[in-house]
Parts: sequence; structure tokens; C-alpha cells
Amino acid sequence: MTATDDAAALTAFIRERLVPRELQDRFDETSPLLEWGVLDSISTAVLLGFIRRELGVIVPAAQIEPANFADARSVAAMVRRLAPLTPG
Amino acid sequence: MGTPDLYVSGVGVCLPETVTVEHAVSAGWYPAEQAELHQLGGAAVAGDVPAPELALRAARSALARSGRSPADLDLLLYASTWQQGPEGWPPHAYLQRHLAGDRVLAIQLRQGCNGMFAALELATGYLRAGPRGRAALLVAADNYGTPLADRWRMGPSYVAGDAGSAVVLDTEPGFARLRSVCSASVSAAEEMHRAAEPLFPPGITQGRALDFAAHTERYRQRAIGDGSGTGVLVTVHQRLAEVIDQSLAEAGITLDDVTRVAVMNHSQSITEQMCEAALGLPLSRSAWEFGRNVGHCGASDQILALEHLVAAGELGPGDHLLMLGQGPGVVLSGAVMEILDSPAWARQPAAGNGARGNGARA
Repeated sequence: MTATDDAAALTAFIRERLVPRELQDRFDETSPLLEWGVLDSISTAVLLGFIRRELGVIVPAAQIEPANFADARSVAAMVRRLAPLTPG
Repeated sequence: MGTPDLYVSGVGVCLPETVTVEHAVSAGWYPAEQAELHQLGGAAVAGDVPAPELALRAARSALARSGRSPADLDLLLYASTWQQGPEGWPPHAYLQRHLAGDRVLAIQLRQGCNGMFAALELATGYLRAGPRGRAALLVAADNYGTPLADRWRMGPSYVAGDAGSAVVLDTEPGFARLRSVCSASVSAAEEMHRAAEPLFPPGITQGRALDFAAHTERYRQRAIGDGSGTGVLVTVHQRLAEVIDQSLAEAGITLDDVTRVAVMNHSQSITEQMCEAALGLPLSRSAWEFGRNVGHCGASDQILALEHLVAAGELGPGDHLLMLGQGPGVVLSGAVMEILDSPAWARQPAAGNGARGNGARA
């Protein structure tokens, strides 16, 4: 899967699984996940589970910073940075 | 902190019989859509058995199983999350009078659902500072079947169960070793558990009910409305990940060594996400199948799971239990227990009616 594919997959997953229905139409990779309240402790866990399971990347504690979850594009960039570091 | 010099010599529970979610839905107490969403099985309900009595029954069991006598105890810590009895009356004095005696230092801890983790941390320091050969009795108990508490609607993803739980933390070898225990806070999120009401006068004095669901929703709406956002809740998850790393590192193990995980008794999806996202483990490695049928029992969930898994033979010598908790504050906690032995009480046939611990009934 390419970096572009990862970003598209992340954006689609967030839109379909985490974004409230009334906001889905205007959601894109630059939509603010924190200001919109899309991410809380549990939905962050859901997103990290998707990244681990579908993208094969384990996000270490030090990277679970709000700045890395500002929008889908930020999440994708973090995944790209971490991908070479994930064992296996 | 790493705690290779401390053991659990006894664990006891007082777990009343379960009232099922099915019954709660048919009675109109619990919304059917919540039942479908969360897949919970029920809640342990103690009826009119006071919380300190639940604590006493669990403590008696733990002390008997430990082989210790009350005279061996240096410390009694009593963790609770809800009203215990007459206001101004200390529930730990009830346990002193009926079990531990007057010579122990006895203190109540109001550390929310992380109370047992706080007790483990404080007792570790206390026992290490004192003479060798001593032990501490740590108990937790709550009965939510009171006015101003609705066990079926208290939180957004759980139902509240009643229970007492107790461990004897020991400087002499026991059936388990406490390998590590640690906590971390995200105080920037403290408002999450009070957002729906003012600090003064305290809600209980105004007859306001305990309602974490309302606080959480109000907090979330305010964070979205004022533009501050929910970044602090991402930090909560970060702190949990740090606590997991620290618990394992200080225990000298890795995730590969973890046999089972005990988290708070929340919904299936939350338990799954805790296991999968934070640990990469399937739900089957948690204590979900047990916890879903007793409810979220205040500060007792992880100790109830420890007792259940050992009694059921699902944890045996050489196994490790990772215990994780999250409570108001927000406080995240972790601990690792290594099972050293199959205690005699775990080899006895279980009672047939599902309730455990000296006959508490709904």
C-alpha cells in the first residue's frame, strides 16, 4: 500500500466509523478532528486499532500527541514516519 | 515502580448475584438499544447489604486465604467511590472493629475506580519502610443501589455492579507476586467528571444524582462549542499507553509474557479497543466474559478478575496478569501480577449459584 493509499484509507475509515453522520458530507483530510470532537480517548483507540490492524503500524506512546491527530492528513504523515520502524 | 519484593498472599471477594441486562430491559431500567450496543450481561446487585459489609466479607476471605492473622497487619486501606454509610463516619473503622484491630493504620481512599491501584502503591511504600514480615490489607467496596445513583444509566458504556474485594499485600511469599504498579495523571481533563454541575455547593448536598454520562457529554459539548477541542482526550490515551509501557518495563516483562489483561468492566467494544489498540491482543485475552456479567464494580474490577481467573484455573503458575484502570482526575494506572502458585482455594470446586463470598444476595 502506498502513502497515498494509506491517507485515503485513513480518511475513509475516519469518515465512516468516527465522524458523526451530520458532518460526514463535509469531512475531508483537512477537517479538524479535535475541534470537531471526532477523537476522544476511545475513538483514538479505535483509530489506533485500525492503524495497527490494517496498515501494520504500531504507534508508540510518545507519538500519541494531539498534534499528530489534528486531521487525517497529520495521522497519515505520522503513519508514514512510523512505518519503517514497525517490526515485522 | 518495580515491586519484586512484594507478594499477594490472599485475595477475597464478596460478589452478589447478577441481575441480568435482559431483566433490566424488560423492567424498563436499561434501554434496549444500549443492551444491543454494549453486549453487557448484567450487574451484581447487593440489595440492602451495606458496602462496608461487602468489604468485611471480602477482607475476611482474603485474610483467611493468606494464612495471616489480624496481628500481622500494619496497614488497612479502604477504597471506595460512592457513599458508604452515614456522612462523616469512616467505613474502615468498621473493618478495624470487626477484623483488623486498632493497632493498624487505617485510611479511606477516595481515588475513584483506581482506588485499588492507589492502595497497592501506598502500601508498597509503607511496607518497605517498616519491619520485614508484615502485611497490608487492601479492600474496596461499593453498593450503588441507593437513591441518587442509577446503576443502569450511570455511565455512557457500562452498568454499575456492587462488590467487595480485598487483597493481602505481603512481604512474605504468597501465591502471586506484585511485579509492578504505577499511575499517571491528566489533570487537564479533571473537568470531564464534573462538567454538568458547579463545584459549590457539592451536588450530593443538593440531592443531585451521580451521573458520569451527563458530565462526559457536557464536557464534550463544551469542548466542541468553545473551540478548545478534544485533544486532551487524546492525551488521556497517550498516558494510558505510557502506563502500559511503564508497568511492563518495571515488571521486567514484555507484552509477549502477558497471559491475561484485566481492565474496567465496560462495554464489549471499549474492552476490545483497549485490548486491540493499546496492546494488540484479542478480546479473549481479557476478562471480558467474566466482567460483562458483574458490571463495573467501582475500584474492585481488576481484583475481582484476578480472583476469578485464579479460581477458575485460567491463571496458573508462571502466568502474568496485566491490570489497567482509568478513573476521574483523570488517572491512569497499571500493575502486573505474576502467579507463583495455585492456591488451595483455587483447587476447590466453585459454589454452584454464581455468587461468591459469604452469601451476599441481591
